[in-house]
Amino acid sequence: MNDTDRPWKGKTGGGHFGQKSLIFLFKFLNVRVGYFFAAFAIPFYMLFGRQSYLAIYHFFNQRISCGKLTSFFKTCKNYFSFSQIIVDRFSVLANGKSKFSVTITGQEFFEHYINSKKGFIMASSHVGNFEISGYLLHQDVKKINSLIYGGEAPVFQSYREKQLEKNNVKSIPVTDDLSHLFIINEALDNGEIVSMPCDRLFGSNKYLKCDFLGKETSFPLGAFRLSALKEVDILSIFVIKLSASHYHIFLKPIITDCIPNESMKNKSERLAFLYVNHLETIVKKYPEQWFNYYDFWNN
Amino acid sequence: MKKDQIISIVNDFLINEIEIDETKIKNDAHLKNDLGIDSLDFVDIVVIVEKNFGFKMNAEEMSGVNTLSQFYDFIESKIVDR
Repeated sequence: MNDTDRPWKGKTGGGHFGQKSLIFLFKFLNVRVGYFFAAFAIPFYMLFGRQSYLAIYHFFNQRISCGKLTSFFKTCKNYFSFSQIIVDRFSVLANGKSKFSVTITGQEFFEHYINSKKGFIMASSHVGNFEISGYLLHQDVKKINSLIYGGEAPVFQSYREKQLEKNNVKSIPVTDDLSHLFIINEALDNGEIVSMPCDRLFGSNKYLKCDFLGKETSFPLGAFRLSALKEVDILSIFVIKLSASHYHIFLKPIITDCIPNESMKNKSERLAFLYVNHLETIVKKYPEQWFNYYDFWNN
Repeated sequence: MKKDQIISIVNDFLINEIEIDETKIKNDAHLKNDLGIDSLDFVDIVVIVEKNFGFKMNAEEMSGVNTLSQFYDFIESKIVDR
C-alpha cells in the first residue's frame, strides 16, 4: 500500500440527528452523566468496528509491547477514554466555553508567541483532546485558524464555527479548490496562529518516513514545510485528559539549529523529525489517549 | 521583469525545492497531472511567488491556471498590472 493511501478517509462518525441532539443535551447535562451513557456504546463500537478495534489492539500489543490480555484491557480503556473525550467536546461545544480546570506546561512559550508580531503554527496530533484547546487556551491577542478535515454533519460544523468564533478561533475546512491554502498563508502573514494536525497523511505525497514507537511509518510534512518556507515557528501542543474535570496541556516549541543555505526540504524534515520524537514521548506516557483508529503503521 | 526571467525563477524553484524532474518541465505540462503538484506544493508556490514576484495569489485567480505555460502567463500578467 502506498503511504498516501493509508486508510484514514477523513470522515468523522455520527449522524446529523445524533450530533444535534448531543449538542442540545449537553447544555443541561453534567459530563459525568454523559460518560455513563457513552460507556454503553463502547461494546458496540468494539464489536462492530473491527478494523478500528484491531488498530488499537495492535498498537498496544506491538508498539507498546503489552501482552495479549493487557492489550485487550488497555484497548477497552482507550475506547472508554475516547468516549469521554467526545463527551467533553460536545459539552464544551454546547456551552461555548470550557468548564474544565487546566494545568499548562510551557505556557511561557505560548505567551511569548502570542505577544510577538509574527504568526506561528500550532502542531497537534490525534492524542488527547486537541479540539478543545481553543477553549482551554482562551486568549484575545491572536486569532487561531484551525485547519479541519470536515466529515461532520453540516449542522454540527456550522454550530461549531459559531461557538469557536466566540473563543477567537476560526475553522478552516480543507477544500478541493485549495482555498484553505490561501487562507492559512494570509493568516500567517497577518501574524495569526494556524493550528493543524501533523500525524495523518491526507492527500499529500510529501511525507517523512521515520521510526515511530519501534516501526517505520510516515508523517505529513505540511506544517513543517510551511514553517521552513515562511520562517514561522512551530509550537507543539498536546491536550491530555487527567480526570473527569481536569486537563493538562503540554506546549513545546519545535526548533532546530539554523544551517546556512539549507534546503527547505531538509529543514522541514529535521523539524518533522523533532516533532515525531516529542510525539513519541507523549504517546509513551499516555498511550490510552492515542486516538488514531486505523492502521497507522500499514501493518 | 522579462518573461525569460520569470520562467527561470519558476523552473528553478520547481526543480530544486519541489523536486520535479527537469525533463518534465515543459510549457504544456499540466501542473497536477504531469508535474504531480499537490496541495502542499501549492502552498510553497504561493509563498515563493509572493517572495520573488511581490504579489499575493488568490484561489479565484488561479482557478483557470492548469498548465505551466498558463502559470508563466499568469505571473507575467500580474507583474504588468502592477
